[in-house]
Amino acid sequence: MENILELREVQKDYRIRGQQNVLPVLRGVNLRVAPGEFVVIMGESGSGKTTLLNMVATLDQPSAGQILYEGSDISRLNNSELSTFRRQKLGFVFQDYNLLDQFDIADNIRLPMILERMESGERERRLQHFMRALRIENKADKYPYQLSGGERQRVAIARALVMQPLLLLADEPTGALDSRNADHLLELFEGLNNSGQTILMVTHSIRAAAHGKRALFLKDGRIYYELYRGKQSVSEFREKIAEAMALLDRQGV
Amino acid sequence: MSKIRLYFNLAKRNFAANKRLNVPLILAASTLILVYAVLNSKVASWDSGTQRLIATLGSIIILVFAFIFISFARSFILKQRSKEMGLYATLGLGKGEFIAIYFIELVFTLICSLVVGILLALPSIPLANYLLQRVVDLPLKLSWGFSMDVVIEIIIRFSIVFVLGFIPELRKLLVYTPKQLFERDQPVFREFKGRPILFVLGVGLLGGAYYLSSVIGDADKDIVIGAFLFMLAVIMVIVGTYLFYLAVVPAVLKFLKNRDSYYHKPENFIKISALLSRLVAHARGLADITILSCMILMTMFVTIHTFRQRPEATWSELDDLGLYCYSYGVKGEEDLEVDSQAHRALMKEKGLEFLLKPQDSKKAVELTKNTVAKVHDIPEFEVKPLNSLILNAEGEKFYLVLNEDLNKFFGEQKYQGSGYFGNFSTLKFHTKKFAKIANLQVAELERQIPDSKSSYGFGKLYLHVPKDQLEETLDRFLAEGQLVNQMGFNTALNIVPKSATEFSVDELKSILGQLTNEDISAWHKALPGGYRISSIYPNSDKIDHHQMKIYMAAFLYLGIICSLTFFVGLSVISWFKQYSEAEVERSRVQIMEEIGLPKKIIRKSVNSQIYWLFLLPLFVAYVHCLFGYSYIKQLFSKIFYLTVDNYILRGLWQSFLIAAGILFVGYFLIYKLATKAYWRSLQINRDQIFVKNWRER
Repeated sequence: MENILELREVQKDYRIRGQQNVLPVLRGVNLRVAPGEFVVIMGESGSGKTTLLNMVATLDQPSAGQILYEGSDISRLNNSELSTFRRQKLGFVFQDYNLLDQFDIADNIRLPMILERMESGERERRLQHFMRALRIENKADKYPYQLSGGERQRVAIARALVMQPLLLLADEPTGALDSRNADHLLELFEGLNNSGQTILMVTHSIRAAAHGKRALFLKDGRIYYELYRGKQSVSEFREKIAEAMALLDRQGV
Repeated sequence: MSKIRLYFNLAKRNFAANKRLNVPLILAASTLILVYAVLNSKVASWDSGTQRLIATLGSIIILVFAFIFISFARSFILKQRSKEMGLYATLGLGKGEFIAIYFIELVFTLICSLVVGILLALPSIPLANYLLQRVVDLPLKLSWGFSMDVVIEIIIRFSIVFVLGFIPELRKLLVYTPKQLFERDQPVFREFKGRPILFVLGVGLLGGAYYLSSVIGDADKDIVIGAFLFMLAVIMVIVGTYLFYLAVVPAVLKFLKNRDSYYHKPENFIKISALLSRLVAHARGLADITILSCMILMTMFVTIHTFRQRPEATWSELDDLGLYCYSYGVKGEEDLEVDSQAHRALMKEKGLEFLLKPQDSKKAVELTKNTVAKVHDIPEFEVKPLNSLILNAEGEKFYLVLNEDLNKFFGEQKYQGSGYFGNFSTLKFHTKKFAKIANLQVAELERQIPDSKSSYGFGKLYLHVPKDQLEETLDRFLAEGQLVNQMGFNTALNIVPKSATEFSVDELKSILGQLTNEDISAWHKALPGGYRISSIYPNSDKIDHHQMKIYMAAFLYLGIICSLTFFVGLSVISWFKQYSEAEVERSRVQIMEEIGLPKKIIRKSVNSQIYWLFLLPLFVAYVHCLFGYSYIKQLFSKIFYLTVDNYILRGLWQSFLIAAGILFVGYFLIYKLATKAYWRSLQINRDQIFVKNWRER
């Protein structure tokens, strides 16, 4: 089966304002995500994981290398095509939810469907389905400021899922949540993944990473290590991840 | 490094780093300083009384509004920098220390504003004086007009304005905790909750105000009552405007939002919700802009129309009445409280004979000519007698003249039949009585009974009749009881100098002052029996004309200065409002990009919002002013002297359209500049959809 996502020797450099030098953030990253995987990218701050996610999300372009979705190179797409691609094929969940405050919850979730000019019957069916699935059906007419952090994140997930994306991207989704809500969210992600949703999550939290099926460790712009969960439990996988992080810290692998 | 030096360096750095906020404030403040300086410069052609009046009025307006606008801008800037202040507080900088830094920045802003304003004033003052004198056709006397006293006054007054504006900021800085400062610049979304009471109140107030304005435009209304009703309408419009943006427009948008077929289209989905949230957040700012636009439009309208219809413009029509002349008026007084029959008899005995025998007035003319020639060495001049009978119709006064006298005066058979004409010497407070009298038509013998109010001023309304209608006219006045109390006559001896020599008021007074008692006695003897000279006064229409030009220039000055001041306010509020909206919009646009909204839709949505929120206040202002138009029309007709053809009302619509056009152009410029700054703040250029590396920012 073809990989959903493939990164080939992806490199990203930034030129610092006022200086001649460039700052390499990602150096030759290779990565594959197969359908149905739950991949976690781990690393400390400054490791380049957010930069990597930006490029996977088509929000930024690599300085070198290729990013392929289902075998197609997305760098050939123009801005309009990229917007459409993002809307149809990708779902985003952010640390700070990124809900539009001028819309109520139902409209926040409807937004991508309306942009797609989806027929109203199908649109409302999906809306109700995901609101029920994420237990936010009684919040439809509320506004984001009226919801708790956990509820807002569930709304963001609903919005990300309504278009049934190829790949769900999550950037520190538990960063702004307390531990209870964070656990609920991660269980939710596991549930979605068990239903077949492919997920790529970026986090520096070992606890969050332990819910994934595969963990990649990024340091100084390179993938240094990879761990597969296999049949391990979450707690066992957490310990493995912690060991790997400690090894990275000592700069020995 | 001493603490003072540290504060100074920090202030300097902050000032430079926040130039996007400081520069518009400096531009606005320096414009107000420039306008203030021009207003307080000495215009050489003006007398000191007019100068003082205009300078005082205008200065008050400028300083009050300068305080309002500068305080608004500074309050906005403070809010934008709250996070920075929270950070300083967290890092250990005491409140007192931060206040000191902030105060030094305020001083930088003040100094920049003063320097720019005063430097701009240096060439502007002579230019403004020149243009003013040219436009109003005053004798051109250029002077520098800008003294060190004025500079010092500007520095002191505007320093006070800035410092006073700092006091509310000071209070906020002292009161807020660091946490509150951190959170202060975060926009708080407010959901629109329907407010049916406010909706009804808003619609009711605006509707009521519009109705009042149209009703008080009726010419029958007394001007004092009209003014009161107009003020009431203005208050209703102001409150109604706030409620319009707070409750009425959001209700309309909410209605559209509930229409599924309309709302759930991509182009409307984002636009309607965004407009609704912006309206709720910025209702007050939009109302301020609307009201300021109304103030600008009405000020310009009144100024432009008064200027276009100034006596200068119409004087050419009245030239042939010989207004460019000097007259020595001699007024006789006789208190005649008699019944109508006796009154008539007395008039026949005293007044009519005088009129019918103009040769008596020739004696007075000869005397005057000799007198003038004696006291003032003037080359030959021409004397034209014009006799008129002053009729006091229940306290109002107008002049009854014979066609024969008039035609003799002009040397042509100009006046036939009967009718009215007016003479504009200076401004006249016009009560409704004169409107009634102006409607008097002797030919149809139709008249209104005026009420008992008196009019004031120096304008003259003439009723001309042929000699054979004179008795009948007087009979009618008497029969209807319109001739009561005082009746006088006026031997207007109009002296037209053949040369271009002008007399100033002082010169004329000097001439009269040099008349000896013998001269006056001799003058008495030339008058019909029983009449005495009670007062001799210079009544030079040319002098009035000159004075009128000065008043006109002063009025024009004040109108332009007020319009400019309000325009500065409009620019400040619009610009800072756009800036704050861009800050909020940036995060929304980023989210929209990330979830896959096409660039086209984002741009369209944002442009549409900007467009609507800019145009709506202007449109509402135009509607308000259209309803105010009818009252302004009434005001013009009442204040200025009505002639048969109501010349002051000619071209009123055109003046309104000119003012509306100027407002539109100025407003459009502000819109363009603010929109450019808005998009720059969003950091999205034409070709790129992404905000590159926004997370790294």
